Amino acid sequence: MMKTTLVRIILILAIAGVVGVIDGATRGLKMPPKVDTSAVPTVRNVPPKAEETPAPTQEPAPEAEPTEATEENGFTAEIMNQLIESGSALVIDARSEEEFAAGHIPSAMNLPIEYFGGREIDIVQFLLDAQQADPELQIIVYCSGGDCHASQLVGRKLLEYQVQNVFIFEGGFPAWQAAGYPIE
Amino acid sequence: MPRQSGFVCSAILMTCRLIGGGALVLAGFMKLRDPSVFMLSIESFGLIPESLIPLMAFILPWTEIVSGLLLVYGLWSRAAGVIATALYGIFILALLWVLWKDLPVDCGCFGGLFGSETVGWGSILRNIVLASAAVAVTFCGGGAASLDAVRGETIATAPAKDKIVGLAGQEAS
Repeated sequence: MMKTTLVRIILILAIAGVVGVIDGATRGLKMPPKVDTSAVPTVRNVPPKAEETPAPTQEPAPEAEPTEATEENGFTAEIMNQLIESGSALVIDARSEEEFAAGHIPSAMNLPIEYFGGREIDIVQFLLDAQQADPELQIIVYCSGGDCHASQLVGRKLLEYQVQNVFIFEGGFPAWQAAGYPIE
Repeated sequence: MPRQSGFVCSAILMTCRLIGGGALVLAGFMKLRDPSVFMLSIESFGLIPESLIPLMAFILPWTEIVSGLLLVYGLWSRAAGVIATALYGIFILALLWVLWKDLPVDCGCFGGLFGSETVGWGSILRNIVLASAAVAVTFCGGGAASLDAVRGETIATAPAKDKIVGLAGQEAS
């Protein structure tokens, strides 16, 4: 009885292994490309700085600090705001639908990782079309800041779809809020 | 009364098979729907060398599907139960590791079918329940309502004594 069960376990694992390898070989066994998080997007046609930059409309949330990573690579909420103002970038919110509904960066599109597998098509097509019209257009992905992983996952999926100029705003929504910029 | 308890045992085992196996099949198919998302989930756990992740992203879901289907149909129930128990055990250990390291990663459970789910005690509890179902099948077999029973492998859960009484009754008449 014990021996029969052991043989069957080995058989099941072997069948699953063979089918898995064949399936993987057919569909391509490779990891999605990585997003370079040390890069900072460039701002084009920035309106004159200082006074004309919209003043923060709300008090910074004391508990929400920009992450170290944001300060290290220089991609701050201010640059993010300039990118949006200048039309240099389209913004993708990789957080869940609930988090997005509770508040997000103005003009951001919601694209959680679970959309990939069918529901991402419209947004990805929109991004590809937009980049076809403007090849310099940058795509900025953010999530909840800090160590949140969703923006990295979504960014890599976008690269897989041949979307170009993908950047990660590592400070994410908390850094945006902390800087006092408006939310929708 | 013994006949009734046999029916109850069979029903419980069938429920365990359907829940434990069905969850595996669903999870496997959802992971295969977009393997690269699953690859990224595995990578975020940081437990497996990067070179092995693509292979793992295909073999693991297929192991879930094959063992899950066998559990659902009650064919080779004990063997499938052992594999399902091992899979759920591995998932529980991985989730505990993520909680211990305080990594804010997505669970990757069911290929994101139920939305983004950060690893928490809820996902661990769910896996413990599913693992318990798989353990029950491992020790008790598929029960009377399984293909194993049809093939005469699993003794029907109605106690043998009941059969003896019936046979004795026939002989008496």
